[in-house]
Amino acid sequence: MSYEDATEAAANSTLQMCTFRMANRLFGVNILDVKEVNENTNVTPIYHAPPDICGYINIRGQILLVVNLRETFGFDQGHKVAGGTGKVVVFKHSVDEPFGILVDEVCDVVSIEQSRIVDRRANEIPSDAVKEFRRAKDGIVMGVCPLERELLLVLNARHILGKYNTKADKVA
Amino acid sequence: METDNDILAEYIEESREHLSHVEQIFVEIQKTGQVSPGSINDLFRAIHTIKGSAGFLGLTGIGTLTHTMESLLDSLRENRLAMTEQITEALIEGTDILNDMFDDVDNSNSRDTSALIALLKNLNSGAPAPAAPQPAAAAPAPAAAPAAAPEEKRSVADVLNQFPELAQYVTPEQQAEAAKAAPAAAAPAPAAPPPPAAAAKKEEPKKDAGAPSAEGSKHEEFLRIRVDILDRLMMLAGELVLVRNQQLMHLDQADATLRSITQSLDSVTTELQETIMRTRMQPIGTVFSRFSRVVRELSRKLSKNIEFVTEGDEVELDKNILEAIGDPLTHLVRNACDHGIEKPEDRKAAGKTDPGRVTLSAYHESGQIHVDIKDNGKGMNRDVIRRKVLEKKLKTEDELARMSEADLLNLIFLPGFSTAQVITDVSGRGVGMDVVKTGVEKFGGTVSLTSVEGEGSTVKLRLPLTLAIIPSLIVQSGNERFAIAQGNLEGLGCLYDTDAFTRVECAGAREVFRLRDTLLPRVRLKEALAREKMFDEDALSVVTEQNSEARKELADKYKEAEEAGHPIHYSLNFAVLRSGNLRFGLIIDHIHGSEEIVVKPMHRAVKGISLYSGATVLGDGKVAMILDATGLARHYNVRDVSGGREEGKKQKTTMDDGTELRSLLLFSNGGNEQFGVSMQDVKRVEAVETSSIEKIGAQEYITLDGVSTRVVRLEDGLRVQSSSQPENMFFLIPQNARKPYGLLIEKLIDSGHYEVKLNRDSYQADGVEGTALIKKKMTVLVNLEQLMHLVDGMWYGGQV
Repeated sequence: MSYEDATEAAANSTLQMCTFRMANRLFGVNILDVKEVNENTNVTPIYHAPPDICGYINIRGQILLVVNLRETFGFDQGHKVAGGTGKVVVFKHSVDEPFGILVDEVCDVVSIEQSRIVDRRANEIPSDAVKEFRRAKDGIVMGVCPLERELLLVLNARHILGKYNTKADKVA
Repeated sequence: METDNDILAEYIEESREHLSHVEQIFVEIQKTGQVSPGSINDLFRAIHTIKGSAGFLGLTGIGTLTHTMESLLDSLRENRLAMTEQITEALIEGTDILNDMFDDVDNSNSRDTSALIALLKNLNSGAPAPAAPQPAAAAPAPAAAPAAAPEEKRSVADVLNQFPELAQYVTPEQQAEAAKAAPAAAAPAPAAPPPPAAAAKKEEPKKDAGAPSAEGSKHEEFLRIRVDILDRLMMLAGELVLVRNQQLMHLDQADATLRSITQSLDSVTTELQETIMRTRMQPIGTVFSRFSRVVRELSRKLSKNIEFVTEGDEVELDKNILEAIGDPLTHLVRNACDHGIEKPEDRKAAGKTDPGRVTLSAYHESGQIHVDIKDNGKGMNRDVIRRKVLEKKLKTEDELARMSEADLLNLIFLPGFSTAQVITDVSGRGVGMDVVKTGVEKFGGTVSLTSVEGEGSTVKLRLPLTLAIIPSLIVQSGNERFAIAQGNLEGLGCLYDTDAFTRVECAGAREVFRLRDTLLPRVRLKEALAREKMFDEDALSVVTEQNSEARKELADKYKEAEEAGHPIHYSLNFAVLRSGNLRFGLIIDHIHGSEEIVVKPMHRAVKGISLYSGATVLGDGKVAMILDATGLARHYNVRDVSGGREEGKKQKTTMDDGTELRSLLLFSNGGNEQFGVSMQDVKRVEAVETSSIEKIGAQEYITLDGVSTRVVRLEDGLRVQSSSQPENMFFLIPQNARKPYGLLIEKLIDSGHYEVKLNRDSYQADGVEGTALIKKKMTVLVNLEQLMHLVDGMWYGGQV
């Protein structure tokens, strides 16, 4: 799909979602925010970094921060990746300082109607999933969109590093 | 769409370039004492261009000043006035003021320049009044005028000068004006705003190509490029390198065509990367050149004769660093002139040449740029430094007493230190050297100082080549590799086998290495990484206890293995890091070697971690963190345990009752007398056969490594029992002997650290320090040097 197509789709309030799996749940981010998906990247751990920071990876000479959303959302740590390899969804420069998120599996691109995304605050689907994500702060989860077989949790990539905006020295 | 501010900013930038060109010309003039018509023309054009846009932008202050300077220059260029030193000075002052004005453009109009303007006018009036309207075509162009430096905007007057026949096409007003004070100022063209950046960029090279200068252009072809574009280029080149690496890895060696293509790709990529790197490099001469003026002015102000020499002007440095070293260098050059070089009469009295000399030299060494600022002045007086330090209570007397000469000198880098007798406006406010040090260290450089009293001082700056690429050491701890900037690194060390657990001591809650004559706090990288909170005393003592237990276990295991006949080999690697005045040994698992790394800043989310100063991509494409020595030291709560280096040649730890810990070699000379010498005084011990001793007259020699070495026996100098002269004896070669000597001894007993309570009274003789009880036996401590003197003196009748 070309960029124009995608833009048009967005204008028709249809969103193209790049979906991926983490801890058996399906997540999606706006495909316009995604730069690329990288497999088998070697993560260098950053000691003393906050727990949700996995480490650094090198993508063609550029150093990217890798975030582990499992930690942010409080999922059990299926496998510890620091120092190992993993699949990383890399976001564009326009989203934030270069970074990516570590995922278990990258899935299809899914088109969804914007109107079908249920804001988690609307409290219309009091499912466990929603409650769980209440805990995830700073509006990373935009809402939930029911797909044919399961729920898609729609994330806003621009908010993932939001908590580091004002407190750069928080770590120290 | 350009706003006024953009135009103003561009104007300022352009003007600064012109001013720096003007300064260069003045430097040239002052150096050679020669004024070429070409250089006057260049000056004129530069000042004129500045004036042109100043009026347009409403910068009247700058406009008036430049106008006056321009008039004066015009008189010079028309040969109505001869260049004098006074004029040069006035013009230089004008340039300085202009520089200041551009620093603060907003307030430039309110700056009072009337005094200078009056002076300039006065100087100018010494010349015949500018000729009244003359036919412009006749405007007498000095010989070099048509040379037309590739100035961006040519004025009508210039054109007229070159092509007199065009005069008829120019309006009379323009002609008149062109012939008047400022021929180049006349045309409306130069007053036009500077062309928008894009246009200027396209234009410049074209102009240069189209109008090659007759006298060989002094301007090179320059293109202004945004730094972020360069950075992006640099990054892309980096990516290309990695792609190239992958290509090399997957290359099918059998395919000859592909192989040759890959080879070309390889070399082009390397060259591309190097070239892009070079875009940021500029010769250090651009910074050096400005100091010849500084020195000249200072020498006049201080009434000293100072000669200024630069070396290595062509050495290239990253632009950022060049900009950053300007201020520290100014301080140092001023210091050299003010404190270093003496007044002429003092120099004569000291029998030195006058003028004194200040040398600035730059050169490459071990991947760094060295810049030396050297003067042949009076050097530094240690006593004055000592006194000042005590006066200002920067250090205590006790601390000073323990300092080496070099450390003492380096005290002048302490904040608040100044030895100037009188505070002048040149230097002496006591901030100088401190500022220099912090300034240089900020971008990864170091400063050191050597000085010989009466002969002068040298300050050495060691600077990184670029800020972006630094030489570093790659080390490993656990599975991770880390980079340590070479600038933070003082050395590497390795302790083998038993040393690995015996050379470690505990000082309170901290562990230290005992190495040669120093105590070195130790930091285990693994522990520092594992603990996120800063180490407090409790944490440290826990760690220290664990480690000392582990060490004991290790030592036992080692012993067991050794006794069992299967010795295990241990090695303990550490890097000696420096953070300010603090040194510590960082224990790591492996040392991988050095690598040039590109420093990338930390991501916002992890910026607060003090352990790292950045990250980098290693040769194999993996990311490595760059360790920050200061951050590590702070995290591990490292304290200076040694109180500076332990002083002196002899390592002594004196306790309250006069007992010292000394490292001694114990021996006997036959009989049952026990002797000892300080290990520091011994170079080596050789096993010799007495049959190889040759006699010449009363003197005995042994040939060692082709050198005939005089044999000295203890009994020659001391009244002790003579040796029974067995076949196998030992020959002790002293350290620092001026002539080849050795002490013949019969038996080695032991060596090690002993507690020595020296008794000077029980046995007094030349060549003996005293006696002490060592291993429950009275031991005569021999002073090797004295003994040699004594023996030598007896042989030569006192003539040494």
